[in-house]
Amino acid sequence: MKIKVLKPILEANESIADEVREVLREQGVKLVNIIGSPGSGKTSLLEKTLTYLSPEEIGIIEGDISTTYDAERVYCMGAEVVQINTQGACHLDANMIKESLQNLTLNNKKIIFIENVGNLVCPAEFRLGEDLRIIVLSLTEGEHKPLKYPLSFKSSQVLIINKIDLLPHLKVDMKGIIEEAKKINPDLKVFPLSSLSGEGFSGWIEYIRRFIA
Amino acid sequence: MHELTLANNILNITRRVAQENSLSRVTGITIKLGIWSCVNEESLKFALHCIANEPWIKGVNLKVEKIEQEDIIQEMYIESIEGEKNEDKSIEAHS
Ligand SMILES: Nc1nc2c(ncn2[C@@H]2O[C@H](COP(=O)(O)OP(=O)(O)OP(=O)(O)O)[C@@H](O)[C@H]2O)c(=O)[nH]1
Ligand SMILES: [Mg+2]
Repeated sequence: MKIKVLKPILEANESIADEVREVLREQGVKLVNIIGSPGSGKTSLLEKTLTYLSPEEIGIIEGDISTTYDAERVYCMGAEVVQINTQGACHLDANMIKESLQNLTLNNKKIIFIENVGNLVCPAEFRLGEDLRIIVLSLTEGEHKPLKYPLSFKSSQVLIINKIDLLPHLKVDMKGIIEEAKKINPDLKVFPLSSLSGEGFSGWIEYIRRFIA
Repeated sequence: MHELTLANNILNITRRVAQENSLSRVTGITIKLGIWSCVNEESLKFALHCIANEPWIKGVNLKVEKIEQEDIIQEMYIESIEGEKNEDKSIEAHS
């Protein structure tokens, strides 16, 4: 006999993501999920961004397979940090976020940034209860990433093109990358910037300030 | 790389639905994936094959169908399961 099921495969994750969203909405805290390849500059973006905002209003959840290096870097910038070590798992899931929230003070926060595990495939499938998903792509990763990893670009609202300070040394076609990303996701907001020099940060900071307000 | 997580979720939902419907064996599962989903069909089948080793589900046939719709971004769900009913041999008795 055949039985109709019609249930989302990740329904367990989805319902916890909804819980997370609800808890944060009540507290008036926004949640941002940052995804991107290993070394694209997710931590660097956070470090630089913290210098423009009030760190005491910001919480950070650092997801890494192992080590606490990234958490230490953002802790040094004055933000409250929780480290998740996924012990090999290639992505964060909503339950890890729910548990991390127990270790963050929420009532003085305006925004929580999650740095997902460096990976352009798996994190895209797992909603964490975020209000905003950001993908960080660095110019050294080369062309055609949007076409090679469409879900990551399709499911994000913001694309940070990082390391533009390296543009003079590379043969990469930045305009082509942006066009390709926009073809996959026409609503994508794109900010080319350098997390090293701070070049291009004004547009991004204005965007995130407005998002928190 | 996350196919094992998905396989685990599929197994859990299938077990629950089979119990609710008093199935004694599940022989087929059909899932639907949005065209944007980044799931490798072979890896998923292999992962499910590895973990579905209790008698009630061993050898289950996983069918993967695509939802050909551009505007559906993150969608993957279990469409249906197929199995046999035998009131005397419910799944709990097996596992
Ligand atoms: N030139 C240049 N280098 C950068 C920039 N942003 C980051 N880097 C360098 O790129 C390397 C990786 O940066 P991270 O911020 O650690 O990258 P990540 O995405 O957090 O890496 P994982 O957490 O390991 O996935 C570091 O050596 C940074 O100094 C940039 O805008 N320009
Ligand atoms: Mg990092």
